[in-house]
Amino acid sequence: MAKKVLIVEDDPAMLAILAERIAQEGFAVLQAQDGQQGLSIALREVPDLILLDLLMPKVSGTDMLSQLRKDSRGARVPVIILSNLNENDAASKTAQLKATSYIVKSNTSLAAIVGEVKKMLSVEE
Amino acid sequence: MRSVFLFKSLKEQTVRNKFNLLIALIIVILLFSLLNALSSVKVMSGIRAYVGGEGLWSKGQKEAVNSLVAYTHSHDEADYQKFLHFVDVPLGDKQARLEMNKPNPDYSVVRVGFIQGGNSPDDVNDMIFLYRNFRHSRLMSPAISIWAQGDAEMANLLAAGDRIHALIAPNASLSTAQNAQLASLLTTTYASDSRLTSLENQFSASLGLGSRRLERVLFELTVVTTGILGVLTLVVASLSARAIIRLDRLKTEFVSLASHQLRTPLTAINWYAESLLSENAGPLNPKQQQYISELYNGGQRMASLISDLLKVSSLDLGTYKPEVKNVDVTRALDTAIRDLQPQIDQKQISVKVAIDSSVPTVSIAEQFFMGVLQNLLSNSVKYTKKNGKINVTVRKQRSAIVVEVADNGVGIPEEQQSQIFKKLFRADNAQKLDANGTGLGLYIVKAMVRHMDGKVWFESVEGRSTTFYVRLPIRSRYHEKAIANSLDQNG
Repeated sequence: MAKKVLIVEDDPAMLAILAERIAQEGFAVLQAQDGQQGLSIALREVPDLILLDLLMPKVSGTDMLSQLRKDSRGARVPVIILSNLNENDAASKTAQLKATSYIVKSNTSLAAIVGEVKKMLSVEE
Repeated sequence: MRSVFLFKSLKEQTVRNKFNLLIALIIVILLFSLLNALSSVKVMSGIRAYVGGEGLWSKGQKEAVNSLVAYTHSHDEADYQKFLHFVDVPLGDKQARLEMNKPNPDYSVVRVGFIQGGNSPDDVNDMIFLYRNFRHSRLMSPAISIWAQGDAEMANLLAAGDRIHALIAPNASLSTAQNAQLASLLTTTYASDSRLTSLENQFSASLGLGSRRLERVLFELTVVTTGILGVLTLVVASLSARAIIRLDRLKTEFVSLASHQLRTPLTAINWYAESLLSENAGPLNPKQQQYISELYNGGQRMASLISDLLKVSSLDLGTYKPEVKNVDVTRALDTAIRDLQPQIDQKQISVKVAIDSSVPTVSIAEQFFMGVLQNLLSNSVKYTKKNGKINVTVRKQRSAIVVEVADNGVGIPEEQQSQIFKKLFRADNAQKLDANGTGLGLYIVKAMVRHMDGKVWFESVEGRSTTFYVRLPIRSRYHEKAIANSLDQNG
């Protein structure tokens, strides 16, 4: 059974191309356009990995993650933060949010993101 | 109510206006202090001169009486001349006083009078200042009134002297009636002398009282005005400081949000261009491949420019404060070189690393240290030709480490070496070799090194080689501060 990757991203163009690219690698891709939707999918589907944007409408990535961590179903799900915010405090933010890693979208290629997803899910390239 | 309006209106002023106001207040305080000090010195010097002048006045008066008495016994004209000479002292002061009472005094007359009174020419200006500015005040007016009484009494003494002289001068010997008249005149003289002595004492006491009063008034005036201006300055300074802090926060937020907003569409452009290039959406002809490559490369350039600008802005604003960690220099260099391995391999550059065994683990802001290594190594790789060489050495130097990154690349033109750490500057040969640079790398290096309390410098020969040196403390002060803060927080 394909591993499930949840992408939470409010920009439809970015969400579409990222979803397409990850799906091409054989993962089951779940999509959400805000934190509220993302949290409900995450708790329902319990994905193997979440790619999470931070600045989003309704519920931000930060809030979604903190609520997710409080729930036993989401406490251990690995999360890669995908953000375009200032990366200077990425390390502290990652630790603070109990995420696995922090990727600056504009500085990272799709191929690199896919590589990171595969690495996290221990899939051979 | 009014002060609330004033405070509100101050709050609404721009930072520049608040600063201008602050500077104006400081200038006012300084001017006031200067004026206060100058006038205090003048007043005190004037009082001292009047006290001295009173001494001379009394001495003149006493000597005049003594000479007149001697004259009545000796009938020697020389004694009478002495009397006239000593009387000149109080008369000189009188001349000065009468002239200063006029609405527009002739100060040369005043000067001559005071000098005739035996006063030092250096004191005359201060005496005039005190008299003209305070003659109606409680400081001076009682003393002046006593002085005027003294002058009237001096006129009596002078008249008595005249009459004694008129009695003695024409006669070789005096008749009984004339002796009786002389005795009466002597009695008048002694009475005058006695009244004058009393007036002199009153004058000194009055001047002393006035000067003490004035001292107190000057002190109170200084305390009150300095207090008011000081409070105002504190208010304006605190409003300015708050405005600057707010402005800094707004700037940081603006830079952060603006870069986020720029990066978002740029990410979409980059990712879609990448997808097209990888032919996910179908095959491309060579022309399409070339065009989309340009698009993709442009996007990458812009992404690194935004990252660099963000770093510059955070470094300049002092908001980029990475955590201080114990860093293994060998491991840090390995990571930095590994990140550049594809470019190193592509140009078949030989990279040699030599770390002295004495180099310890350094306690440093790791992100800054990595940023410096990445920037310097990336420059060396960029500006070294195919099959070139890069040597990285690290050695310990007292309480610091020195990292050297040497390459045999294009070098930096001598005439442009002084500008190499400037924001957005790119050397001509670097621009030709790599059009994609942002001109911010070395500025960032310098700022990061500065934040680590270190120093960066270089040696370069155009067309032959460049070596960058970075000296960094093994334990940064930043680290000490961080430890002190954490101890404080933990009680």
